[in-house]
Amino acid sequence: MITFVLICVWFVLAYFIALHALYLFLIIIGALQVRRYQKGITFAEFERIAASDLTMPVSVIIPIFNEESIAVATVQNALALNYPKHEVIVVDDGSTDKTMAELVEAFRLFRVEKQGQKHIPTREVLGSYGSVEHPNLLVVTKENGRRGDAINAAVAVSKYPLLCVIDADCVLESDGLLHMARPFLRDSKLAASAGVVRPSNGLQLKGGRIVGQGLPKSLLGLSQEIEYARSFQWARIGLCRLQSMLCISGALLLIKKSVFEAVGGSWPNAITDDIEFTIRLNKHIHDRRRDRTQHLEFTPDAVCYTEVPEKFRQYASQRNRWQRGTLQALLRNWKMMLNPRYGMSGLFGMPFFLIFEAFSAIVELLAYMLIPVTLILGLAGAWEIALMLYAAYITGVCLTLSAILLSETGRLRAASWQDFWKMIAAVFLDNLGFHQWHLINRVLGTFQYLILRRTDMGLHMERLSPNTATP
Amino acid sequence: MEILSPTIIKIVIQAAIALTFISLLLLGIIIAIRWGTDRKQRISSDYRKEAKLFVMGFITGKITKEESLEVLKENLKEGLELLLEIGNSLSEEERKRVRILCAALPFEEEQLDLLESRHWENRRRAAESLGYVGGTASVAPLKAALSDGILIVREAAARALVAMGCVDAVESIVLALDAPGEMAERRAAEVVTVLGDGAVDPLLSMLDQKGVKYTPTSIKIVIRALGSLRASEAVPALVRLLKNSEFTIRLNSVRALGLIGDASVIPEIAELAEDLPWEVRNVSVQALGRLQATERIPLLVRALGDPSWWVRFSAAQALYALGEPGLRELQKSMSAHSDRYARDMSRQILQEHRLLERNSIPSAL
Repeated sequence: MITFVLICVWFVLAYFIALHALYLFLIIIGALQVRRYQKGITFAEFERIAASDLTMPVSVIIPIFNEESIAVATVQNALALNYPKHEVIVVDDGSTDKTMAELVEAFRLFRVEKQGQKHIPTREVLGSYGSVEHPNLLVVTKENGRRGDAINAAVAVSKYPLLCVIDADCVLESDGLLHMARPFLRDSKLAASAGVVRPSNGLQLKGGRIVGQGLPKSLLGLSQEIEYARSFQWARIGLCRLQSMLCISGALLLIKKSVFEAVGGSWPNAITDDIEFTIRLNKHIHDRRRDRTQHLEFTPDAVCYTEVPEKFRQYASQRNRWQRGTLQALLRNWKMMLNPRYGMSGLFGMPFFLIFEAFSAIVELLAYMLIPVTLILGLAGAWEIALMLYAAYITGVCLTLSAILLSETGRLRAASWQDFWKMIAAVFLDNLGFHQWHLINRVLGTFQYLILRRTDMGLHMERLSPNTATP
Repeated sequence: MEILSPTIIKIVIQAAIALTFISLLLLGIIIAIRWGTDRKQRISSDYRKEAKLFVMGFITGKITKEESLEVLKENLKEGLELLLEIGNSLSEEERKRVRILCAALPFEEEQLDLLESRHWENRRRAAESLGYVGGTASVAPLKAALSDGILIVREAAARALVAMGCVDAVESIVLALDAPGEMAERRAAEVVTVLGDGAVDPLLSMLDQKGVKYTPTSIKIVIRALGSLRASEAVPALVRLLKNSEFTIRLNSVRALGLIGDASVIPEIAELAEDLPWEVRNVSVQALGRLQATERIPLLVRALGDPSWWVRFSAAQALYALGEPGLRELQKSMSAHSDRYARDMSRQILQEHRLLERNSIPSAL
């Protein structure tokens, strides 16, 4: 028994050191990558892209399900993007609330016939609608499927060679699409580009445009703000450099239509279609049996803001779903695991996601469970446990501060000193309860997926009233 | 039995102390950076606001050159950035006034030195800057930079030469920007197009030179640029290229002829509506619509049943562009075309342009 506990303790310690060392490594690589990216931007380049007839047109795809409170604002934001030529395709995935009615009223929709190129089968499309005021807006209604099915339906009717998939609650910076499209203009081998995702809670909007920055009001929201900065921004840039970015957030993806179709589109049964799709995308472009000339890129200055849950119940459900989705995606593409055929994505990306993303919660829970066990068995005293806990806590703080340091040197720095101090407070408070709550939900998600085979989408996200986001 | 030996505990304590110290240090650095950035931004913004007034005053003739120079000399780095920014937003005529200011400041020499730098980022930045602040002394070094090993530097030099109106550099620019990939071609053509009509003769001479062998990419860049410039003088040369064995050259020539808008070439373009690659058929059908080729309506109706979705789509759009006679054919095709896909496409285009009876709002509501 004691030997087993000892093995567990040493395993947890080794895991903890490896995890933090890897994250630090990824953050450093991410910072170097961003520096290189910024050096590559030429003077007035984005103005040139915006004015050029040669910029590749983009189809912006917004899958929507029961989003009556935010649908209109999101579509307005997408229509107001500063881009030479883009269309907005909204797919109402069988909403049962007033989403469609709101859209019809706001954009004066009328029915149109639309025959797309249907390469990927989807649930039945019920109708297509154009807008009197916005000729570049198309709304498609279809039978309820999942997000992936809705995206596939939109791709079938899209006209342009680039697809930008965003979430229903996303707010893009007005030049965001220009920044995302830039790498495609420079590199014909680029398959897809991902952008930075940050919480939108606290953002101020007017007519679909961002007019003021801000932070979430609750501590839970702030905790997610620093989590997004640390894990979803810097670490992912590092992973991308290592050709191992297996999760491009569904909140912001720009991809060539030809590549999307070649990959087979989104998997309609996915719990989190973005992770599953990105893994298959990596599988497609890194497969040694193909020419392997394509690649993915992270665009560090393209920012999309997405609403994060500020209620514990909603947060729990979201993290539970993400955990189940990650496991589902990894297991579905298990063939890639440690398979040299898929290059770095198989040899490093897949094991990294499995060990340090999917199973990190289990290992951390094991660490917490070992505390009473070691105390009872007399293997460690209270002082030693406290010391270890403090070491773990301060390592996390140190890592997060590194991410904040990098953010402060760029344009994604906190908007005011007040916001800055809130962020710093969140860095120190995050590990004192919020992180553990996150952990419990992920462990539950793991159990529910692996043992109970739960594959539903969890609670539907309750949106903040649009007034809270508008000054 | 203890899990952690005294030695390990000692290491953990030292690590925890070190990490605490590093965290506090990081926090201090973050605060210092934040404070410094705020201060720098404030100073820069104040300076730019003031300097901009002087520069704009000089451009409009309200302020003397000496007064403007005095302000710019206070902060040369910010001054250069400001002049670049202002130069970028002005017309070529107004930019000449900016160049007067630049000539009196040590910008050009500095940037010419940087153009020789070992680091490609510096060379690129210098080339970009010289496009706005460079004088005649910069032309030769910029032409030399067209043979730089890094494409992005060559492109910056090309843009600078174009901004300075160097028509004699057209051939060198095309050759310097000859890189694989459609986007590279398009970008190169866009750079040359900025020169306007002045670029037409040198471009045409590239197509006419019998003894010189250019790569297909260079030829495509030239064709694209001539099309974008709507150069009617280029029509005979482009018609000759319609017979080229390289399909991408045929495709670009058809597209350029469509843009130029000379209706006399409709028969030659129509021939390509039955070319083998669908891309050529597609562009040819688009060009027929653009050239208002009403006499080719039967061909366009046939193209509605093309195996390629894009050709069908373009044919329907071309028929729509022909106005009344084309619309009549679209309406007829919607019900009478032998091909189901042609019928669907006709209906879709008529619907998109709101020419069919409107079913106002979703029935479910």
